Amino acid sequence: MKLKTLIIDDDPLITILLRKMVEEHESLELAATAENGEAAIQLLRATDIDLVFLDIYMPDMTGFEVLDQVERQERTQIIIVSGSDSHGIEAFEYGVADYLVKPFSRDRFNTAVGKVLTKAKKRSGSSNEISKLNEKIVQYIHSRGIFEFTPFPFREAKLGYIYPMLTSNLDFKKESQALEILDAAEKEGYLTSSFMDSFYCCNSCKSNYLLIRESCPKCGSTCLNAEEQVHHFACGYVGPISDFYKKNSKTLLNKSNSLECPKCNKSLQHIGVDYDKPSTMFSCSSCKNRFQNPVVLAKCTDCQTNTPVENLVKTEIKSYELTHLGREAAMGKVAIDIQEKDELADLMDRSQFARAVEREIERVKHYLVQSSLISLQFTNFQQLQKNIGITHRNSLIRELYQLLLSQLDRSCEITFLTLNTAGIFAPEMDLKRAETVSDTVSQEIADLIYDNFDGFRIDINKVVLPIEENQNVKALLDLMIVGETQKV
Amino acid sequence: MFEMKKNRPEISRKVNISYPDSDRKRYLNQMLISDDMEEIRFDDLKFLKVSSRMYKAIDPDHFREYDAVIIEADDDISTFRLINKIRSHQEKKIYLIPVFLLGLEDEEHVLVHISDGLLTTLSNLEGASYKTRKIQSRM
Repeated sequence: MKLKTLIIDDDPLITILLRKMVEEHESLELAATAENGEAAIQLLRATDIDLVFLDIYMPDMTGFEVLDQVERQERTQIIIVSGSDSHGIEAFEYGVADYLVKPFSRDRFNTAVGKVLTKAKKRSGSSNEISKLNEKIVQYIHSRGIFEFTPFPFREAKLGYIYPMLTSNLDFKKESQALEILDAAEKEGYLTSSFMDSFYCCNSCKSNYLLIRESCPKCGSTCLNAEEQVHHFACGYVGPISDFYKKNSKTLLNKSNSLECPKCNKSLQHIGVDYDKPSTMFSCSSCKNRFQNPVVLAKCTDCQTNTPVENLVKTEIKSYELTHLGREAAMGKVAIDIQEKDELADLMDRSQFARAVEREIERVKHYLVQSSLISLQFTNFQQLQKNIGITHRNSLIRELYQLLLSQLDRSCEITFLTLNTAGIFAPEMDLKRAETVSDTVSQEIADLIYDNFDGFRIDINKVVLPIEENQNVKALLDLMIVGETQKV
Repeated sequence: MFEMKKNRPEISRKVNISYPDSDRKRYLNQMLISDDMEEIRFDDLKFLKVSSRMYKAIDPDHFREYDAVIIEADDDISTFRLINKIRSHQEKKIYLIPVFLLGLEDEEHVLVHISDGLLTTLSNLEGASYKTRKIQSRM
């Protein structure tokens, strides 16, 4: 949020000082300056201004006379700037935001601007999408006097549940964001939650409509024939029930009523006495593979992803109550301001990594040091992510980061350049050692993933680059991502 | 009591149908706006009755001048979409407007839970009127 600011002062020194402070303030934007009342009135009439620094004594009129002549917009706030503090009461009557007595410090300036910003934020309401949605939710709960804001099961909803008001504001594809939005509101203290239900949904798109199917472990086909297995106690023969059908029995009823052991030719009369049925045998119609344990896959009806059921991530649905803060927000007394947070932002600080590399490029100009950059690209990471879901993916990336930290020298700088590329800046590590190190950590990572994700083999593409003088940092980082090892 | 006229007037020929009920202070009258929209006044409140099957054509901005909306629920999906259209509006007066459903038989239907209540008849809007005022006082 940036406030359009107008400075009205006949003193050029004060104008320069204020201009500098305004330009350096991240929430202010200088719209114009005026040296007298007449120019100020014209500017205020012609431009949408959020904040005015207004001098009281000017050659043609006073600051208050300027205010008298202009129909002030509701959004425009005034900070009086005066050499005297004798107009405090009058300023108060005009509803000014603050009163600065010249000379004033930067801290005093910031305090005054802070007051204006708080009011402006309150007036403009919530700033981003998450905040706006949360504002709608708390207003809805409050206006309806809802004690417990509960989701309802609904076939048309992607999650299988809808939250009144909230789900209406989300496209079908983004309906699962409802949970994150409510989570954010809870973290900020507008809502409190209690458990309501938990279920499994698609790891990729969070759809609740999954087709649970048995499939062939070899070819993935779902065209399977199931047959009971028979264990003949007398001779110990175990085989599919069709092996036990008498060859001369013509009807299926006859077949199932008269079993004969293919090994000892004895007739099997009573289950539990002559034989039992220990399991079911499957045969795949596509690849003819025979097996006992089919892979149970959940096929998402929305994104078509097939996920082994044991890899599905549980989703929790909660009901919510308004807190005191939430009620205040619903009544407009508090502005909801929830910043969208990237969960992995701390691991993906590319700018800090670039600065470290840039400093090293400068260093190698002056000192005889050999430093390297290592990039580890997990080329089939997407595939793994599909299986484990975004929440587990983020945990895995954190885990990998910790592993790299433990394996590398303390002087190394590590960041994830993308979700599937880890970048390592290794100061004073020559290319040969960097290659050895990259081999070692790659193996560690591969083992970790293999052990924890059902034997998943991660493909790691290693890139090792020397840091040399006059290199371009941006080009270097791009190379680490695309994986080309040509000289920069 | 509230039989619809077979030949409904066009928007340009708005007709006030008054229902003499001098004993009651509160009165209800209906004004046909189009085949699918009807304005109902009750207890100094303005309700707009709309047909859910018109959800694509209805502009929620039109609800601004009303106190509450009554959706004639022709089918679940169109009713759901119309509620979504109202609740996803950017203007507070519209997205918080009380929404009542007419014509649903199942009191436990999910649509009843995401609206502000179920009406079985238009002849008595006491309950809807009470709820509308309550919501308005907290908006």
